[in-house]
Amino acid sequence: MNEKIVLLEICKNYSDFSIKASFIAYEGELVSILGPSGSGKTTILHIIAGFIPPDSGKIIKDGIDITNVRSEKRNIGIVFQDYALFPFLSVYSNIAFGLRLKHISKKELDVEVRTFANAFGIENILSKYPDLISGGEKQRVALARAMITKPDILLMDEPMSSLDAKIGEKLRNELKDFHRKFGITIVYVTHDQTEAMYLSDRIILMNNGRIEQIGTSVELYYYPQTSFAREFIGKINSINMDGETLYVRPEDIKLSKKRGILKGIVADVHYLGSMSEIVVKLENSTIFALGLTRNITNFKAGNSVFLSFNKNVKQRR
Amino acid sequence: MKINKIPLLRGIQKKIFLNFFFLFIFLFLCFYFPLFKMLKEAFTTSTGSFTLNEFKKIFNDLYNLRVVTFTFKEAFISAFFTLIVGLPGAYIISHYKFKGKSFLVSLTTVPFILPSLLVALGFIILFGDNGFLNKFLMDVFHFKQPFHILYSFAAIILVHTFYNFPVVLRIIGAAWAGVSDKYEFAAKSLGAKPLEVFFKVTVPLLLPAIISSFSLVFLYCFLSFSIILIIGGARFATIEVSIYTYYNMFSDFKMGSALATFQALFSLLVIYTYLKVSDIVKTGDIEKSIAPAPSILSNKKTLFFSLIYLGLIFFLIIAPILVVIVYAFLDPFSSKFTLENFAKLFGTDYTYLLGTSFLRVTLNSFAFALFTLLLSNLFALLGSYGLKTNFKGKNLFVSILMLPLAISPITIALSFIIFFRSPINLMNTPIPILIAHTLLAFPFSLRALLPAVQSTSDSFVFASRSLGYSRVKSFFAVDLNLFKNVLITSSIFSFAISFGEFGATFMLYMPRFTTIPIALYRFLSGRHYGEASALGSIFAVINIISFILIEKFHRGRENII
Repeated sequence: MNEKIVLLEICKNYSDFSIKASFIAYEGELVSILGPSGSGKTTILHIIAGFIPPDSGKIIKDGIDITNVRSEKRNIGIVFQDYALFPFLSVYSNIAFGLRLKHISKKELDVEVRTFANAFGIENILSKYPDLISGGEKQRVALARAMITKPDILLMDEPMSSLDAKIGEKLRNELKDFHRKFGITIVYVTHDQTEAMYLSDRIILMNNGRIEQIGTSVELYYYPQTSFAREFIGKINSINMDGETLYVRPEDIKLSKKRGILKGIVADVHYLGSMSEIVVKLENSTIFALGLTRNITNFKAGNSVFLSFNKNVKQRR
Repeated sequence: MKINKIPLLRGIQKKIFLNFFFLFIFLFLCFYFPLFKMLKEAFTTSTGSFTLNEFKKIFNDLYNLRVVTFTFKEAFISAFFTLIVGLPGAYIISHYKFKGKSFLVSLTTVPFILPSLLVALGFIILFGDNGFLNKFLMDVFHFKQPFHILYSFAAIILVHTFYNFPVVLRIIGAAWAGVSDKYEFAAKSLGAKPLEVFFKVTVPLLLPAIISSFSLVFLYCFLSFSIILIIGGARFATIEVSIYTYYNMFSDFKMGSALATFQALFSLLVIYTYLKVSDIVKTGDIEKSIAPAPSILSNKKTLFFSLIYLGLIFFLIIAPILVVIVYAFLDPFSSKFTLENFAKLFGTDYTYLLGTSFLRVTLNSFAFALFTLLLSNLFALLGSYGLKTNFKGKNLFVSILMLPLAISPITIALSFIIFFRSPINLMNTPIPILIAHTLLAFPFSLRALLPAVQSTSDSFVFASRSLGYSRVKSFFAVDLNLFKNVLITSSIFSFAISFGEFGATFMLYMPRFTTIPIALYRFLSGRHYGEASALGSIFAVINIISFILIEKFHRGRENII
């Protein structure tokens, strides 16, 4: 696979915070930068876009060093957190903005804008202004506006964070379709691990200005390499057994009324729909187990319960 | 359900009614009726039948047409230059952090509270044929002839620009800080070069602020009076000046009224634009941007230009006041320190010129200003409390209260002269002047008080009443304390407006009621610049005190200008 964009020992220092990062995004890949707020992920995006100059390090796009290239010359598209659609322009003019700078004929421009509007299903809101369209439509307009200039890479900065959950889910699917259709390299910033795991080919996990781990969703979930990665992605129980600490995902705990390797008391049951979470009090810790709701209906608060682990637990400590 | 069946609501309705009752009596008796009479004057013949002749004469008569064209031209060019001069400042204060920034921003209030006569005096001393600049050029570079800067079109534009660029600096500066740089970055990511970003993104985003500041400056220059009178010389007259001339030289009320009506209609249009547009202007904080605000020291080139610009601003604001004070203590022939000017001012040498003693002049000014302060605050409080609750037709009430803002001092004076002469002649009392000052100050007081009163919860008053205070007692114990700072600000503004008011007073006064600005004008037109400076420096000191007080009590609040 081609290395589409490479960050080589990028450093950025602020008075109370610093960022150090190196990573690669391959051609056609959707890479997420995942981390809590304040971890420096958006800053990295802005460094790639050329809005913020790094203190040291290199950015290489398609084999060419673009560290000192001005942002308008980088041919890197960006979709902002709240989309930053120009409020004084109609949807049509927003989409046309990048092409208008290229001095192409009016007719060509119109054809292009309508093609992209069709591709994103927004052909019927072209005359509206950004403050009158929905969050989902805004995202589509922002995508169309960025894509019409045919950027080499698309950067996306938490585009779903300002939408409510239901719409967010729908847009995630749309985004996945879009990525498949255009095959463009996307660097996607988010603080939402579900979103990152759902969308990404690979995830770059960041904390406090440093990269903790890079890997696929499965790698990050099942083979976390740092304690931060372990705690941040999914829920995990740490259980002390025979002097060693065992890290166990809630769904890897099996509950039984009769036998197991640990004994505890059911403290509470949280019904979550198809799945339910059972809080179990052990001697000196509390753990969470997860099971299908229909399997655990006979566990009630106050019952004593036996725990055992799935076979795979030991090997992936 | 009928509203007045609920005792509590009925009480509120009654309260609103009472608040507005006194305010409306005042406004209708002292503003709307005189204005109506003036309109009648403009549209009737001497026998009392309706006519449009006077109105037609605005465009048929060559002199009138010249005045109208000049007024529009002068206001437009002034506003344009003001915009150009103010924009870099707006950029600097909205994009950089530096020490003394908030002081500099607050310093830009100075021209607002500086009476135009004082500014004019400062410019005469600086740029006049015998002014500091020409003296310097002739002494140091041996120029044979002084530069004739004053009494020209350029001089008018120069003074207007100085006087008004803080409007641009403040309005656009605040808006620019609120414009998130994400839009500019979005444009860059789409391939826009810096200049394209500026014209295609930044300017459209700032357009509301640009229009709003432009229309405000345009209005100020459109209604310019004393600066035209003093700096422009005899060749130039705005509509405002010629209304005065028609009255003063020809006792022609009809033509004056017609011009005043035309002027008021256009001012209303401009002020309507201003208010509509300034609603859209969003302001904010540079901290929220993608690239954090850099220190001004971070780039040598920007530092260089910023320093020059900021230095120039500082100089422009301070210089006119400074030269007035310096000139006051200077013997014009020997250039040595002297107290002669003050001695003459306080003596009786000029009673013939002022029409009364200097002590009387000072007392007049203070008396007018204090009464204006009281009345303006009282009416603004009544208005604010009346507007606190929502009711049908509230917007109409707001417009009725704010309309005086759009009517020029000379127009108010003209309408008073027409109205207050019969059936009882009040023109030889100080009442018309006092009312005129109150009308000019009241909108500013209202704009200071209204937001504070509206945003304060009723709970405070309810609490004090539940603790046994009567409404009147809790007004003094609670309300006054809650609004102390805005009341002080409003007081300083209304005091300063009255103390510096020239146009309306000039038209309405009799020698007994000469105020400090009138005296200053008398000295200026008699070319007694030494005495004018002595008086001007006293004036300036009072203004500096006002400035410091406003700074102390109004820091970080909404603009009321």
